[in-house]
Amino acid sequence: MRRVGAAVVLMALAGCATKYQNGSGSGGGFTESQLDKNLFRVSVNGNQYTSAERARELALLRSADLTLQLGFSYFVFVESRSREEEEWYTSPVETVSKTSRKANGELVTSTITYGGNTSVSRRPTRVNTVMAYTKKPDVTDVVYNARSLCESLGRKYEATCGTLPAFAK
Amino acid sequence: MRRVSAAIVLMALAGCATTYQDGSGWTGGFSEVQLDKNVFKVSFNGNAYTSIERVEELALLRGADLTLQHGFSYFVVTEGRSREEVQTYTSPVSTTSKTSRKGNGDLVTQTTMYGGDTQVSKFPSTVNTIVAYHRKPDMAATVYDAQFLCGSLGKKYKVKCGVRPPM
Repeated sequence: MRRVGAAVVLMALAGCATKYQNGSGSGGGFTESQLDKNLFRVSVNGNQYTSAERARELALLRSADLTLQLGFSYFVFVESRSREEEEWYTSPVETVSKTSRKANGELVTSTITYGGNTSVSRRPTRVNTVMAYTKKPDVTDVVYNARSLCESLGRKYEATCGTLPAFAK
Repeated sequence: MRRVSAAIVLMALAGCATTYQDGSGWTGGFSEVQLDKNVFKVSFNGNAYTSIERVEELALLRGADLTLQHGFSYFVVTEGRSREEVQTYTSPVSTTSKTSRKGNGDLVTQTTMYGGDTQVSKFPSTVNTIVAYHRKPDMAATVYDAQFLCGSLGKKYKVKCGVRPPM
Protein backbone atom coordinates (compact mmCIF):
# COMPACT_ATOMS: atom_id res chain seq x y z
CA MET A 1 0.00 0.00 0.00
CA ARG A 2 2.81 2.35 0.90
CA ARG A 3 4.40 1.48 -2.43
CA VAL A 4 1.24 2.47 -4.29
CA GLY A 5 1.16 5.78 -2.39
CA ALA A 6 4.75 6.51 -3.33
CA ALA A 7 4.02 5.70 -6.95
CA VAL A 8 1.05 8.10 -6.96
CA VAL A 9 3.19 10.90 -5.49
CA LEU A 10 5.90 10.25 -8.07
CA MET A 11 3.39 10.37 -10.89
CA ALA A 12 1.96 13.63 -9.61
CA LEU A 13 5.47 15.10 -9.45
CA ALA A 14 6.70 13.91 -12.82
CA GLY A 15 3.59 13.14 -14.81
CA CYS A 16 4.83 14.81 -17.95
CA ALA A 17 7.80 14.45 -20.25
CA THR A 18 11.16 16.02 -19.40
CA LYS A 19 11.39 19.70 -20.33
CA TYR A 20 14.35 21.79 -21.46
CA GLN A 21 15.81 22.25 -17.99
CA ASN A 22 18.87 21.64 -15.82
CA GLY A 23 18.98 18.61 -13.61
CA SER A 24 19.26 14.87 -13.40
CA GLY A 25 16.63 14.19 -10.71
CA SER A 26 13.33 12.38 -11.08
CA GLY A 27 11.95 14.97 -13.52
CA GLY A 28 15.01 14.64 -15.74
CA GLY A 29 16.96 17.31 -17.59
CA PHE A 30 20.45 17.97 -18.88
CA THR A 31 23.90 18.06 -17.28
CA GLU A 32 27.08 19.21 -19.00
CA SER A 33 30.86 19.44 -18.67
CA GLN A 34 33.34 21.56 -20.54
CA LEU A 35 36.34 19.50 -21.68
CA ASP A 36 38.21 22.19 -23.57
CA LYS A 37 37.62 25.70 -24.94
CA ASN A 38 35.56 24.29 -27.80
CA LEU A 39 34.79 20.78 -26.54
CA PHE A 40 31.99 19.78 -24.19
CA ARG A 41 29.73 16.97 -23.22
CA VAL A 42 25.96 17.13 -22.81
CA SER A 43 23.85 14.42 -21.16
CA VAL A 44 20.08 14.39 -21.14
CA ASN A 45 18.29 12.11 -18.71
CA GLY A 46 14.63 11.70 -19.52
CA ASN A 47 11.98 10.49 -17.10
CA GLN A 48 9.70 7.54 -17.86
CA TYR A 49 7.29 9.79 -19.79
CA THR A 50 10.01 10.86 -22.23
CA SER A 51 10.65 9.18 -25.56
CA ALA A 52 14.17 8.41 -26.75
CA GLU A 53 13.54 10.76 -29.68
CA ARG A 54 12.68 13.64 -27.38
CA ALA A 55 15.84 13.03 -25.32
CA ARG A 56 17.90 13.15 -28.55
CA GLU A 57 16.39 16.44 -29.64
CA LEU A 58 16.75 18.03 -26.22
CA ALA A 59 20.44 17.07 -26.24
CA LEU A 60 20.79 18.52 -29.74
CA LEU A 61 19.11 21.74 -28.63
CA ARG A 62 21.34 22.03 -25.56
CA SER A 63 24.42 21.42 -27.74
CA ALA A 64 23.37 24.31 -29.99
CA ASP A 65 22.65 26.51 -26.98
CA LEU A 66 26.09 25.84 -25.42
CA THR A 67 27.82 26.40 -28.77
CA LEU A 68 26.32 29.90 -29.01
CA GLN A 69 26.94 30.71 -25.35
CA LEU A 70 30.63 29.84 -25.77
CA GLY A 71 30.81 32.20 -28.76
CA PHE A 72 30.87 29.57 -31.54
CA SER A 73 28.49 29.05 -34.45
CA TYR A 74 28.80 25.46 -35.69
CA PHE A 75 29.26 22.08 -34.08
CA VAL A 76 29.82 18.40 -34.81
CA PHE A 77 29.33 15.35 -32.65
CA VAL A 78 32.63 13.71 -31.78
CA GLU A 79 30.65 10.97 -30.09
CA SER A 80 27.01 10.37 -29.32
CA ARG A 81 25.07 7.51 -27.85
CA SER A 82 21.66 6.64 -26.48
CA ARG A 83 20.49 4.14 -23.93
CA GLU A 84 17.38 3.24 -22.01
CA GLU A 85 17.09 2.09 -18.45
CA GLU A 86 14.26 -0.22 -17.56
CA GLU A 87 12.54 -0.64 -14.24
CA TRP A 88 10.19 -3.48 -13.48
CA TYR A 89 7.66 -3.68 -10.72
CA THR A 90 5.43 -6.66 -9.94
CA SER A 91 2.62 -6.11 -7.46
CA PRO A 92 2.15 -8.66 -4.64
CA VAL A 93 -0.19 -11.57 -5.26
CA GLU A 94 -3.14 -11.95 -2.95
CA THR A 95 -5.41 -14.98 -2.93
CA VAL A 96 -8.67 -15.12 -1.01
CA SER A 97 -10.53 -18.40 -0.71
CA LYS A 98 -13.78 -18.98 1.03
CA THR A 99 -15.06 -22.41 2.02
CA SER A 100 -18.62 -22.97 3.15
CA ARG A 101 -20.60 -26.06 4.00
CA LYS A 102 -23.94 -26.25 2.36
CA ALA A 103 -27.06 -27.60 4.05
CA ASN A 104 -26.54 -31.04 2.44
CA GLY A 105 -23.03 -31.25 3.93
CA GLU A 106 -21.22 -30.46 0.66
CA LEU A 107 -18.09 -28.23 0.92
CA VAL A 108 -17.88 -25.36 -1.58
CA THR A 109 -14.62 -23.40 -2.05
CA SER A 110 -14.27 -20.24 -4.11
CA THR A 111 -10.86 -18.66 -4.76
CA ILE A 112 -10.03 -15.23 -6.15
CA THR A 113 -6.47 -14.05 -6.93
CA TYR A 114 -5.47 -10.41 -7.19
CA GLY A 115 -2.22 -8.71 -8.17
CA GLY A 116 0.83 -10.12 -9.91
CA ASN A 117 0.75 -7.35 -12.52
CA THR A 118 4.08 -6.29 -13.91
CA SER A 119 4.71 -2.73 -15.04
CA VAL A 120 7.78 -1.57 -16.90
CA SER A 121 9.04 1.98 -17.12
CA ARG A 122 11.82 3.12 -19.42
CA ARG A 123 13.95 6.19 -19.01
CA PRO A 124 16.05 7.34 -21.97
CA THR A 125 19.50 8.90 -21.76
CA ARG A 126 21.34 10.70 -24.54
CA VAL A 127 25.00 11.72 -24.34
CA ASN A 128 26.77 13.93 -26.90
CA THR A 129 30.40 14.96 -27.01
CA VAL A 130 30.44 18.17 -29.01
CA MET A 131 33.20 20.04 -30.83
CA ALA A 132 32.30 23.67 -31.58
CA TYR A 133 33.69 25.92 -34.36
CA THR A 134 33.52 29.59 -35.29
CA LYS A 135 33.50 28.84 -39.03
CA LYS A 136 31.85 25.95 -40.75
CA PRO A 137 34.49 23.19 -40.64
CA ASP A 138 35.35 21.18 -43.73
CA VAL A 139 34.70 17.69 -42.32
CA THR A 140 32.78 14.66 -43.49
CA ASP A 141 30.59 14.55 -40.35
CA VAL A 142 27.24 16.30 -40.12
CA VAL A 143 27.89 19.95 -39.25
CA TYR A 144 25.09 21.63 -37.31
CA ASN A 145 24.32 25.31 -37.51
CA ALA A 146 23.73 26.28 -33.89
CA ARG A 147 21.71 29.43 -34.64
CA SER A 148 19.15 27.73 -36.86
CA LEU A 149 18.83 24.72 -34.51
CA CYS A 150 18.16 27.07 -31.61
CA GLU A 151 15.32 28.58 -33.60
CA SER A 152 13.72 25.40 -34.91
CA LEU A 153 14.12 23.12 -31.88
CA GLY A 154 13.73 26.06 -29.51
CA ARG A 155 10.30 26.74 -30.97
CA LYS A 156 9.34 23.07 -30.75
CA TYR A 157 10.35 22.77 -27.09
CA GLU A 158 9.33 26.29 -26.06
CA ALA A 159 12.84 27.19 -25.01
CA THR A 160 14.99 30.22 -25.76
CA CYS A 161 18.71 29.64 -26.20
CA GLY A 162 20.85 31.65 -23.79
CA THR A 163 18.37 31.79 -20.91
CA LEU A 164 19.89 28.83 -19.03
CA PRO A 165 23.57 29.68 -18.44
CA ALA A 166 26.28 27.29 -19.60
CA PHE A 167 28.12 25.16 -17.05
CA ALA A 168 26.25 26.74 -14.16
CA LYS A 169 26.86 25.36 -10.72
CA MET B 1 10.42 -5.57 7.18
CA ARG B 2 13.84 -7.15 7.38
CA ARG B 3 14.29 -6.32 3.73
CA VAL B 4 13.51 -2.66 4.33
CA SER B 5 16.09 -2.35 7.10
CA ALA B 6 18.70 -4.19 5.03
CA ALA B 7 18.02 -1.77 2.21
CA ILE B 8 18.42 1.20 4.55
CA VAL B 9 21.76 -0.12 5.85
CA LEU B 10 22.96 -0.64 2.28
CA MET B 11 21.91 2.85 1.32
CA ALA B 12 23.64 4.34 4.32
CA LEU B 13 26.84 2.48 3.44
CA ALA B 14 26.89 3.10 -0.27
CA GLY B 15 24.06 5.51 -0.93
CA CYS B 16 26.09 7.93 -2.90
CA ALA B 17 27.87 7.81 -6.20
CA THR B 18 31.57 7.00 -6.36
CA THR B 19 33.77 10.01 -5.64
CA TYR B 20 37.22 10.82 -7.02
CA GLN B 21 39.20 8.42 -4.88
CA ASP B 22 41.81 5.71 -5.03
CA GLY B 23 40.38 2.23 -4.97
CA SER B 24 38.64 -0.45 -6.91
CA GLY B 25 36.74 -2.13 -4.08
CA TRP B 26 33.12 -2.01 -3.19
CA THR B 27 32.62 1.74 -3.27
CA GLY B 28 34.68 2.13 -6.43
CA GLY B 29 37.39 4.59 -7.46
CA PHE B 30 40.38 4.74 -9.77
CA SER B 31 43.46 2.59 -10.25
CA GLU B 32 46.27 3.01 -12.74
CA VAL B 33 49.35 1.43 -14.25
CA GLN B 34 52.24 3.34 -15.81
CA LEU B 35 53.19 1.59 -19.05
CA ASP B 36 55.92 3.97 -20.14
CA LYS B 37 57.28 7.40 -19.17
CA ASN B 38 54.29 9.02 -20.84
CA VAL B 39 51.80 6.15 -21.20
CA PHE B 40 49.23 5.24 -18.56
CA LYS B 41 46.33 2.93 -18.21
CA VAL B 42 43.63 4.49 -16.04
CA SER B 43 40.67 2.51 -14.73
CA PHE B 44 37.68 3.89 -12.94
CA ASN B 45 35.10 1.64 -11.32
CA GLY B 46 31.77 3.00 -10.14
CA ASN B 47 29.30 1.57 -7.67
CA ALA B 48 25.63 0.91 -8.39
CA TYR B 49 24.70 4.55 -7.69
CA THR B 50 27.10 5.87 -10.32
CA SER B 51 26.15 6.63 -13.91
CA ILE B 52 28.41 5.62 -16.75
CA GLU B 53 28.75 9.30 -17.73
CA ARG B 54 30.13 10.13 -14.29
CA VAL B 55 32.62 7.26 -14.49
CA GLU B 56 33.82 8.38 -17.93
CA GLU B 57 34.34 11.94 -16.74
CA LEU B 58 36.14 10.87 -13.58
CA ALA B 59 38.46 8.64 -15.65
CA LEU B 60 39.16 11.64 -17.90
CA LEU B 61 39.83 13.80 -14.85
CA ARG B 62 42.26 11.19 -13.52
CA GLY B 63 44.01 11.18 -16.90
CA ALA B 64 44.47 14.95 -16.69
CA ASP B 65 45.65 14.70 -13.09
CA LEU B 66 48.29 12.05 -13.96
CA THR B 67 49.43 14.04 -17.00
CA LEU B 68 50.14 17.11 -14.89
CA GLN B 69 51.62 15.12 -11.98
CA HIS B 70 54.21 13.68 -14.37
CA GLY B 71 55.09 17.07 -15.79
CA PHE B 72 53.19 16.84 -19.09
CA SER B 73 50.54 19.22 -20.47
CA TYR B 74 48.43 17.37 -23.05
CA PHE B 75 47.08 13.89 -23.50
CA VAL B 76 45.31 11.69 -25.99
CA VAL B 77 43.10 8.72 -25.17
CA THR B 78 44.48 6.05 -27.49
CA GLU B 79 42.10 3.39 -26.28
CA GLY B 80 38.95 3.97 -24.26
CA ARG B 81 36.39 1.43 -23.26
CA SER B 82 33.35 1.54 -21.00
CA ARG B 83 31.24 -1.30 -19.78
CA GLU B 84 28.56 -2.11 -17.25
CA GLU B 85 28.42 -5.15 -15.04
CA VAL B 86 24.91 -6.20 -14.26
CA GLN B 87 23.86 -7.89 -11.05
CA THR B 88 20.34 -9.05 -10.41
CA TYR B 89 18.77 -9.81 -7.10
CA THR B 90 15.42 -11.52 -6.68
CA SER B 91 13.91 -11.18 -3.25
CA PRO B 92 12.63 -14.29 -1.46
CA VAL B 93 8.94 -15.01 -1.74
CA SER B 94 7.02 -15.06 1.51
CA THR B 95 3.47 -16.27 1.88
CA THR B 96 1.12 -15.34 4.70
CA SER B 97 -2.14 -17.20 5.22
CA LYS B 98 -4.92 -16.37 7.61
CA THR B 99 -7.90 -18.64 8.14
CA SER B 100 -10.95 -17.64 10.13
CA ARG B 101 -14.30 -19.20 10.73
CA LYS B 102 -17.23 -16.94 10.35
CA GLY B 103 -20.38 -17.01 12.49
CA ASN B 104 -22.25 -19.15 9.97
CA GLY B 105 -19.48 -21.74 9.99
CA ASP B 106 -17.90 -20.65 6.67
CA LEU B 107 -14.12 -20.90 6.48
CA VAL B 108 -12.34 -17.91 4.91
CA THR B 109 -8.67 -18.20 4.02
CA GLN B 110 -6.69 -15.19 2.86
CA THR B 111 -3.24 -15.77 1.40
CA THR B 112 -0.85 -12.99 0.42
CA MET B 113 2.44 -13.51 -1.40
CA TYR B 114 5.12 -10.87 -1.18
CA GLY B 115 8.52 -10.69 -2.79
CA GLY B 116 9.86 -12.28 -5.91
CA ASP B 117 10.78 -8.82 -7.24
CA THR B 118 13.95 -8.65 -9.23
CA GLN B 119 16.26 -5.70 -8.80
CA VAL B 120 18.98 -4.95 -11.26
CA SER B 121 22.16 -3.12 -10.26
CA LYS B 122 24.65 -1.87 -12.81
CA PHE B 123 28.29 -1.23 -12.01
CA PRO B 124 29.91 0.95 -14.67
CA SER B 125 33.62 1.10 -15.38
CA THR B 126 35.93 2.79 -17.85
CA VAL B 127 39.48 1.90 -18.87
CA ASN B 128 41.50 4.48 -20.81
CA THR B 129 45.00 4.15 -22.18
CA ILE B 130 46.45 7.64 -22.41
CA VAL B 131 49.60 9.06 -23.96
CA ALA B 132 50.87 12.31 -22.45
CA TYR B 133 52.77 15.07 -24.28
CA HIS B 134 54.67 18.24 -23.37
CA ARG B 135 53.44 20.08 -26.47
CA LYS B 136 50.14 19.80 -28.22
CA PRO B 137 50.59 16.99 -30.76
CA ASP B 138 49.37 17.57 -34.29
CA MET B 139 47.01 14.65 -34.89
CA ALA B 140 43.46 13.86 -35.90
CA ALA B 141 42.46 12.48 -32.47
CA THR B 142 40.97 14.64 -29.72
CA VAL B 143 43.85 16.20 -27.78
CA TYR B 144 42.98 17.18 -24.23
CA ASP B 145 44.53 20.15 -22.49
CA ALA B 146 45.18 18.66 -19.02
CA GLN B 147 45.23 22.03 -17.26
CA PHE B 148 41.87 22.99 -18.75
CA LEU B 149 40.26 19.65 -17.85
CA CYS B 150 41.61 19.84 -14.31
CA GLY B 151 39.97 23.23 -13.98
CA SER B 152 36.58 22.40 -15.48
CA LEU B 153 36.03 18.80 -14.31
CA GLY B 154 37.93 19.47 -11.08
CA LYS B 155 35.44 22.21 -10.27
CA LYS B 156 32.48 20.05 -11.20
CA TYR B 157 33.60 17.15 -9.00
CA LYS B 158 35.23 19.37 -6.33
CA VAL B 159 38.65 17.81 -6.77
CA LYS B 160 42.09 19.35 -6.45
CA CYS B 161 43.80 18.22 -9.58
CA GLY B 162 47.30 18.46 -11.02
CA VAL B 163 49.10 18.85 -7.72
CA ARG B 164 52.53 17.23 -8.02
CA PRO B 165 53.18 14.82 -5.16
CA PRO B 166 56.14 15.63 -2.88
CA MET B 167 59.28 13.79 -3.98
